[in-house]
Amino acid sequence: MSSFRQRLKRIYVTVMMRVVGWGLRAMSRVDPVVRAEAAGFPDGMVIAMTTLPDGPSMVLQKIPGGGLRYLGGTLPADTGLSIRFKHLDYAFRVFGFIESTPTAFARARMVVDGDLPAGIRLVRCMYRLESVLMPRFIAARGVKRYPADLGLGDKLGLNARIYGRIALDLVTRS
Amino acid sequence: MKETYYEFSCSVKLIVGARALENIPFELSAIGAKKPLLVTDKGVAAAGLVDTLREILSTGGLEIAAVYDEVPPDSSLTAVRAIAGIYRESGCDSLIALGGGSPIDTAKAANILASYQTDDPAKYSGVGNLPRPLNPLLVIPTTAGTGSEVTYVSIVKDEERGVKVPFASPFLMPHAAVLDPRMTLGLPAQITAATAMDAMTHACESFICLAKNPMSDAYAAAAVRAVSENLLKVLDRPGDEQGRLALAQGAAMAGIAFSNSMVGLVHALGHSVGATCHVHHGTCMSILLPAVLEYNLEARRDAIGELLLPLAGADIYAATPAAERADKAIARLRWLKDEIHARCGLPRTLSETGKVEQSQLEQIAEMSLDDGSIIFNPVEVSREEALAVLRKSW
Repeated sequence: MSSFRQRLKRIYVTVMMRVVGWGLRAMSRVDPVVRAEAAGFPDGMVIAMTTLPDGPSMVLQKIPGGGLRYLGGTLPADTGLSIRFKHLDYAFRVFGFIESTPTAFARARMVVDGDLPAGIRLVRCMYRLESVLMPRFIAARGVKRYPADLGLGDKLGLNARIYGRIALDLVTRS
Repeated sequence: MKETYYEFSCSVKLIVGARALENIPFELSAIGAKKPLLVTDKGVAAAGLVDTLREILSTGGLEIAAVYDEVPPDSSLTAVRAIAGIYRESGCDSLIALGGGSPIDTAKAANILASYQTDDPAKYSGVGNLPRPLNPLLVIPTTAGTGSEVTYVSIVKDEERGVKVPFASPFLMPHAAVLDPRMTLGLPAQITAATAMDAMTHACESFICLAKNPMSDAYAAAAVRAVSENLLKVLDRPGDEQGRLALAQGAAMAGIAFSNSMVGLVHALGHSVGATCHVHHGTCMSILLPAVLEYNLEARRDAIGELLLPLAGADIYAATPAAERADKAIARLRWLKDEIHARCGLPRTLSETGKVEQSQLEQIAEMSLDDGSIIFNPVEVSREEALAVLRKSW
């Protein structure tokens, strides 16, 4: 039976997976950088991020027209791209900004299966999400380079639009 | 303090040196293989290496059951399926790959179909999708560069879909690699240089990229030394067996290094130049390496500085102040490129290849951003920065 600490980690990773799912969905509509990146995924592609052996997970789908749709936390049978953390603790360290995403890749903390160029694209979307949604001193620990052109004013404006979009999406579930 | 964590593996038995080929009959019989299928290409066969190998094996009591010598330069799934078919029809029990990266990667992928008795490679593509060990595969490299003889990866072109299909699994590691200087003696000067610079790039990138670790660093530094000490000698005296062997060992060591710590921007750009303009991979590596090291300089000044020792030797390293070693290491690579060019005409710039138009650089830069290698580069690369490196190498 998992300890209280492990259960807390699982809850944290579950919450962060949802933040990433809803966040990328919203950013693919309101942030020009993620919108451009998302346009590069093949239409209909199912993109999953999960933790071995049994989640938590996050599933997105590229919809025609350029956006990403958040499909929830249940893994489908078939995915075009799947990023699997080898252990809950590895996912916790990445989502907890203890270990940066590139360092996690370099340490083989996760397995990328499927369309590798799409995997690289997803990582760039993650960098952008971290840089925009998180305070600079936290985001800088998760990415290779914090974007020089992302000033505080731009960041606050983008945050307002992203959270507004998330709220709208949650209400309408569209 | 930063935590240490890395993974390192190389299970390939290396059989290296004079008369290494003569050990193959014993080596295969020790793992119960009696009927090998030889996989190679037309160039290798025309160079007489198949006949040489057949005679050596026959004297040792091992007959080659069948030969497939039609592997194309970029490998192909058609060849993979054809080889698996011949393997079954001829009742083979093992594979020998003889050639450069293409025959080796093709034989690795064909071994999947032959071992699992299937015609569908698709369900085994990707990372870690092989469920059990494969039949014996023995590799004899005839170039000294790709390092494929010691890696767990095979990349094969799917001509129908126009994409490259990767297979990656520990089960893809050959059972043994045989490095015999007779197999690289006839390699033309420009291919010798290009493949050696491919090995040099594997070593340098694995030494500076994000997944570097003490084990891969040791192999990488030894590989850089092997290439820098022997390449010009071999270009001056192509019959230098010891020099040829040193290059083959350098390529294998670089292969072990990069298969454990990956490569970075040189490969990301080089793959895109190769795919767009059909420039030889090793030539791309040689052209791009100094400019990419310069691009990564501030993030990796110490590591690049350390490369000066295997690149230029102890005297130059000791006489160079620590703060100047990284710049000197890059200058040394540029000097090496010039010396190679003077000896065999290997292009030093993208324009010298005669295959790359300046107008293509933007497309190449864009394409390189989606290459899997780029994630291991120590610096996050923007499109404009990738383009600047390409323009510098133009």
